[in-house]
Amino acid sequence: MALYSVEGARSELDLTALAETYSGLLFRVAYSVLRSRAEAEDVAQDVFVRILKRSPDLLTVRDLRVWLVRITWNLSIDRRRRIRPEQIDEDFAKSLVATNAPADEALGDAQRMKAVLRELEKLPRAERQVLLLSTVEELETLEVAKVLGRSESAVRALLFRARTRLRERLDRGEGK
Amino acid sequence: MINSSEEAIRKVLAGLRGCDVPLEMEQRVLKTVHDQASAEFRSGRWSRPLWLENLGAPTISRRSFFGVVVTGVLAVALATPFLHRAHRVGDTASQFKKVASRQVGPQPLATPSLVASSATVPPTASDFRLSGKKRKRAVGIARHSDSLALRELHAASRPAPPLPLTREEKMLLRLIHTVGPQELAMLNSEIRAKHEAEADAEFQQFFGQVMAKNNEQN
Repeated sequence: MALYSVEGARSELDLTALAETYSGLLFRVAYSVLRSRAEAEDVAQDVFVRILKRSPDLLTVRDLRVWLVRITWNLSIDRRRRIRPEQIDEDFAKSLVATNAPADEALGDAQRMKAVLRELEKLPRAERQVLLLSTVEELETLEVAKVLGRSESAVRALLFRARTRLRERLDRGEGK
Repeated sequence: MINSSEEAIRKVLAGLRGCDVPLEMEQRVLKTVHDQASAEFRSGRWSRPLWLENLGAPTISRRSFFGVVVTGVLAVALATPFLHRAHRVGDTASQFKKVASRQVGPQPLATPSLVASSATVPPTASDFRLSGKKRKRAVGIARHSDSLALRELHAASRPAPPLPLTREEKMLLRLIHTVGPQELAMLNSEIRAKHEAEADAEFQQFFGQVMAKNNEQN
C-alpha cells in the first residue's frame, strides 16, 4: 500500500500508517457527534482525503493527533447541520434499549434516551463539546483541552457543569 | 427499566463510548484516499513539482528558498578550509614520493617507521580548529598517503633504459623488419667491404674537392 505515499513532499506522509493509527479514533470522535456509523465513517474518510490534499501543511503540524481530532470534530459538526439528526438520534436511542425488555418498557426507555440526546444538544456549546469528547476513550483530558483550546482544569469544570446541567434539565422535564 | 435521569445519561454516554469501529474501515478509507489521489494525479494537479509550486507562492516560500541558498553558501565556506587541508596533505605525500625516488645506491633505505615519521605532517593552526571528527578524518587521509609512499618505496625497480645499439645490432634489426636484397648482400663481409670502400671514395671525391677549395681560399 505504498502507493499512498504520493510524490514529492507528499511522500513524506505514509497515509497507510496514518489510517492504521488514527482511523479508529477519528471514527469514534465523529460518532460522538453524529451517532451514525455510516456518517462517522464518511467523515473519517473525508479527513484522510483532506490530509492528502493538504499534506504539505501537515508536515508543519506539531501535534498531529490533536490536529486530526480537531478537523474531524469540525467536519462532524458541519455534517450534522446538513443531515437530519432527529431521525438518527431516534435510531441511536432505540439501539440502546435492551432487546429483551417488554414493548412498553422499551418505548419508555427509548423516550428517555431521546430526551437525553435532545437536552444534550441544547447544552451550551463548550459544555456539549467537552461532554461529547469525553466519551471518546482514547482521548485524555489534556488532549480534549488541546482540541478545544482550553486548559485542563477548564475542561474538568466544563464536564462537571455539563453533567449537572443535563441532569437538572432532564429532572425538570420529567417533573413537568 | 431506566429509573433516573442520571442512569439515562450514563447509558447514552456509554452507548457513544462503546461504539465499535466498523470492520475493514481502514481499507475503505485507504481505498477512497487512493481513488482520490489517482483522480487528482490523472487530472494533472500533481504533475508540477512541489518546490516549483512553492516558488510561485509569495513571501514565506521565497524566504525559505533564500534561506536554503544562504545555508548552502555557508556550508561551502565552512567546508573550504577542510578541503584545502586535505589537498595539502596530498601534496606532502607526493613530495615525499619524489624525495624517496631520488634516493639511490649506497644511501640506506628508509625503514617503514622512519618513513612514517618523516611523512607525518606537523599540526597546523587549522588542525586545532578542526573538531574531533574532522581531525580523525584528516589523520586518516595522512595515513593513507603514508601507505602509498611506502608502497612506492618497496615496489620493484623499473628496468634500466636501453643502451644504444651497435651497428651490427641495428643491421640485424633492420634485416628482421625489412629483408631486402641489398641488406642480405651486406651480410657478406667482402661485399660489405667493397660497398664501404665505394662509399668512402664517393665521400672523399665530394668532400675532398670542397675541403681543397677551402684550403686554397685560406
